[in-house]
Amino acid sequence: MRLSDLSRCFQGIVPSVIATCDAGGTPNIAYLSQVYMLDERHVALSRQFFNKTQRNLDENPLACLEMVDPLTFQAYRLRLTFLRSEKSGPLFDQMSMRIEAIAAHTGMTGIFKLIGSDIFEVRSVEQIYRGVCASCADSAGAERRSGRAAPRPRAS
Amino acid sequence: MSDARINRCLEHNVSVVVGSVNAAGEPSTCRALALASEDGLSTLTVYVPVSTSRDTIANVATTGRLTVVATHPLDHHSVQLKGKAATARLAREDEAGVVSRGFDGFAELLNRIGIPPRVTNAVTRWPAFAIEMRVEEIYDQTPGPKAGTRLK
Repeated sequence: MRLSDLSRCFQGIVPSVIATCDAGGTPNIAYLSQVYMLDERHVALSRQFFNKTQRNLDENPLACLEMVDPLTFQAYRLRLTFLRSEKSGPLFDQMSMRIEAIAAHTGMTGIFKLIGSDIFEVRSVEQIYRGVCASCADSAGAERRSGRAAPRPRAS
Repeated sequence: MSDARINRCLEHNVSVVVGSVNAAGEPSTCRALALASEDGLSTLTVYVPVSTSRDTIANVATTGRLTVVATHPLDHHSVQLKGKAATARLAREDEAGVVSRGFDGFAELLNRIGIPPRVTNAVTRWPAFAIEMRVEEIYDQTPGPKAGTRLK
């Protein structure tokens, strides 16, 4: 599975979730406003408040990211290794602008503020549950537009 | 944060995510279906779909360390509960109602913000595992300057 196949997951409509773990073995979860695809093997995550996540990554660079396709609710699990954090430069500026847009859209202006673009290597991508397939969702949308009833999705 | 605010994590319209870790320090996530507690959050039962929780259940069996985040999608109110799993078992038939109410309430709320039932209906709900954990720490996870503050 390629990261570029998950383009809708990178739109920031459904917040992604990151799990990290400290040196003592205690896991931590944080929500992310933005996941930015750099290439097929690297992503950048927005760091706003999650100091615990940063402390954990300093102790243990392994992380797990869960992303959801907002159209199908299909979820994906990415195994990551933290590489570095950028606090300036073109990537930071681009992610910062997008964070401001997300903040305005979600009523979090003044609360969401980018403090770092954390860059990770993607070690694996796994589909973790089947939602409505994209083609089903597309056909449901077409049927809605044509006035016909959308089909009931098949539970997995 | 008051106990009443903390206990909002038990309402039937929250997004629930479980974090666990294996013996090699590899963390894992799993979307959960519902939460229940009958002793004021000293212990917590978290329900996860059997079909998506393989890593979580394996991690419970090895390290037992768990974290659970419950979030209200509308106001972002969020708490994180950390602790040690005591047991993981198949959810009983008499717990199906708890699972159903938990996820249905969440799905209903998602419908209000534009994710329709035909999408959320596709999420696997049953059978489910019930993971019983002892809550050791509770943190405020609501986005903002108090995020990460220990509450209990």
